[in-house]
Amino acid sequence: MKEMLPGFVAGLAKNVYLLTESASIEEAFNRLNQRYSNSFQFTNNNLLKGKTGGPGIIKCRTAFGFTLIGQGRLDGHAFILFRGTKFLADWLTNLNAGVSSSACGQPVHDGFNTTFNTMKPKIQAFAQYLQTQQVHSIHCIGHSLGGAIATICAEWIAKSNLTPYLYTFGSPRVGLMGFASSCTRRLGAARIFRAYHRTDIVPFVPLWPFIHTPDKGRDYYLPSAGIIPGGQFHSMDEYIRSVSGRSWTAIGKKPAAHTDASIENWLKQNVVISFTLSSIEWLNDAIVYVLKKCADAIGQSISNFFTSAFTLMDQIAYILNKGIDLSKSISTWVVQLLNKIMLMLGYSPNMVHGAQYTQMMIRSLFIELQNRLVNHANKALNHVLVNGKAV
Amino acid sequence: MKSGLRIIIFLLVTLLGGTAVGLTDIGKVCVFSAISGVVTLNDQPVAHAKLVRTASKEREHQDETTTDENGYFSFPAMYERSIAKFLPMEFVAKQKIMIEYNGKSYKLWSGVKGKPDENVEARGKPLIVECELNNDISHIWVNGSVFSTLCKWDVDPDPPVNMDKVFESDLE
Repeated sequence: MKEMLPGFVAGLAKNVYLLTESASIEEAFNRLNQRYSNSFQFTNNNLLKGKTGGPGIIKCRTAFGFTLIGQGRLDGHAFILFRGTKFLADWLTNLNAGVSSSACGQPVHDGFNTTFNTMKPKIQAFAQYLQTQQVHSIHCIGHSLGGAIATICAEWIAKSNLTPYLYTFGSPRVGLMGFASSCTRRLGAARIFRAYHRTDIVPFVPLWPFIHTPDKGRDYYLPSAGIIPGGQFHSMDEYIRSVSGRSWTAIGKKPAAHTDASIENWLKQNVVISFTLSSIEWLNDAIVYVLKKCADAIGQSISNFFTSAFTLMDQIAYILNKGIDLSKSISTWVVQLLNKIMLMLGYSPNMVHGAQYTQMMIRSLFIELQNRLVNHANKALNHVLVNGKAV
Repeated sequence: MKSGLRIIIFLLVTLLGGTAVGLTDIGKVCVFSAISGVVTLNDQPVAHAKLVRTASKEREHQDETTTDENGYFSFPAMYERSIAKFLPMEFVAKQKIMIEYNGKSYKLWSGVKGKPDENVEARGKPLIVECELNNDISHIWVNGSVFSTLCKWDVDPDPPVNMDKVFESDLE
């Protein structure tokens, strides 16, 4: 294992924003080597023939990246850096985000996947170029949307004979369960470093059934101020502050995940709940728990449901509705979950009896919940805009 | 009633951050701080030369000025206001100053400002520069921003990254 330190990687994730704004690639390299004491190769040949896939800028309308090969202490290491853009907003607030198939045939967010595919020819050329170099380690690094693209990129590289390292800061959720588990398996959980602040809003979206990669092993949880998620702790400067001088092993784990028993307990409580960070976390876990229960009972892997052309909301409604018709042991939990969502939206759950939840109703309940969360996110984002940090 | 009023006051105070920021300043960010100084060529003042400054973030902004007989110039701070609702994203503004003198065009300044605050280029101090057109371009990292320029100013640059501490095993 040759993993890079969090502070070093965070610096690169920040600097890719500055480098991609350079007037020329030569200027970018000069700046880079000033900062990193000539630790990156720059060959004029590759610069002039951008298409040979040497180090350089990867560009597309919605995202940017930068490819680098190390020298000196970084000899044998290659880097693919991705930056975020404002286009993230359009995708994350899209209530009916679709999924499409990743390099390894797994369901990922269509917007992220399309972006990666636009950049893929450049990355492919770089990967081919690397085969002529003595490179033993590839590091995929990204912040925000860049983290999502880095994840899809790492899965794609893992198809070849090199297993990359993946580092993300404040990445949104990239794919559905099938993607998360397949990507984790291919890379190995030990090579995936997903760092996030507890109150960074971006890792909360897109909503279920999108989940984070890795789905096993550990993530790198960074405590941050506040009880509701917002935008301040999304900034790379905050991430740099949180990880500098520390090793990955010194960074904390997410406090123990909610156990099945505690989720069941939470679902049973019929008390008013508000939109705090903690209740959003509980609800998230509860939805995944109940959806899994339904899918298991139908005898299918849950990820199989989310591949057709239906919107995600339709599919969630379909599964839960099926769950109500199944055995009583399952329908109880579906009804508890729906009641809980009703409570969170400010309705009295006594208005509806279990058997009366129709597929249509479940769908509108989930859409309202999504709406509420997106509004909540937008409020947080507007606050960021006021502070001049979002623009 | 009383508590309602208190909430409104609280909201106003937090929204405006308790500073002199007015509602008209919402979404306003600095893409190029005020910059002034003297331009020379072989230590002689570059007089009556035209400077064109551009900065771009969501849009491109441009203004111009001319040096006086002592080679002195000054530009005010340049702002951009964004009305779109954006997700939290990193602030990056691209900067450039070109100068034309004796039929020749020089790139005086090419920068990327990495923070929205004013005067990050000089760590909070006014940005006062001395620019020698015969200088080599230097690349200066300051405050999470980077500048490639013929100018010098009073600032401590960010130290280079410590290449002895790059791998996880370096801390063990």
